[in-house]
Amino acid sequence: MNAKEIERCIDEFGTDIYRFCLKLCGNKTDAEDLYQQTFLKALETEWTLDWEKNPKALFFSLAHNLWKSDRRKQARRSQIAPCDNLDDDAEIVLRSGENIEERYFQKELIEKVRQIIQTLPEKFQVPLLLYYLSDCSIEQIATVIKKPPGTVKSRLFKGRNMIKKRLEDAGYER
Amino acid sequence: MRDDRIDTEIEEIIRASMKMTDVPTPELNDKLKAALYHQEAVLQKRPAAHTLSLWYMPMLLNLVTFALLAVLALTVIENAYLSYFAAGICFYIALAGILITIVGVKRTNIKEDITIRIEKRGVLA
Repeated sequence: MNAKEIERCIDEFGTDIYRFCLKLCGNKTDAEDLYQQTFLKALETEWTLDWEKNPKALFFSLAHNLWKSDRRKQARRSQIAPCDNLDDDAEIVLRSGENIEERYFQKELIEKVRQIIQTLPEKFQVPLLLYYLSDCSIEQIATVIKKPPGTVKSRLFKGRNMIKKRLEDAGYER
Repeated sequence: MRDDRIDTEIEEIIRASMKMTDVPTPELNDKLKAALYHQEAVLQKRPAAHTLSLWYMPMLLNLVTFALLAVLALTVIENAYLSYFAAGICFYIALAGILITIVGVKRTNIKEDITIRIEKRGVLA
């Protein structure tokens, strides 16, 4: 790929890749490094991007591989550090009414889910991030994680169930 | 019906927990774009080359060596029990080499690390 084409990719979906990196790394410094590495690495590939289809899955795949490779090189961390740079104001309060107490509990619930997702095993975390954060289709996720679409569906299902189970264990009622 | 409602609810909560407003700063993007053009210039100056990963080579050499040793043990050693014992050890070592390589591929970066670059003479990338 050439620099001109990658520059276009940065403008088109750089933000999506950046947010994915941020969720994977859990801190801004590492995320910025991974974000830059992803596009720099793309320069060495011989991809031909098909702009008719959504080519961002290739970059998610590259970011994911670089992150895995980097993680192997580092000492294995027992758990991923919590993402501390998320913008609280950006939280969407579900079914937000005037009830302050309800809003507070919704906010707490969202924060809890965020923490649970950060501590999920990688094979469930990555499909969930791609599906809910980056709005990737099942086929695109299958390309990124190099697994069949059926496996992706199953991991999404299991991931959701794990979140549900952990919420129940933490005392959140249905 | 109730399960569907719970599933929808959990989906909404997950989606809400994923919401982010973080964007890469213009400085970061500018720095990255500058690095891209610099890197491109460096790559163009570098002689053309193709890379070859040799991750399977230690496993293959181990397999061939110990297979030959097993054959040798079976043909040279006259005592049948001893020859089977020696061949068994060779088989075990060959198998261990394959298993270690599989673990290495899954858990480390040997595919990238055991890579050689073969430069094409007189051709720029």
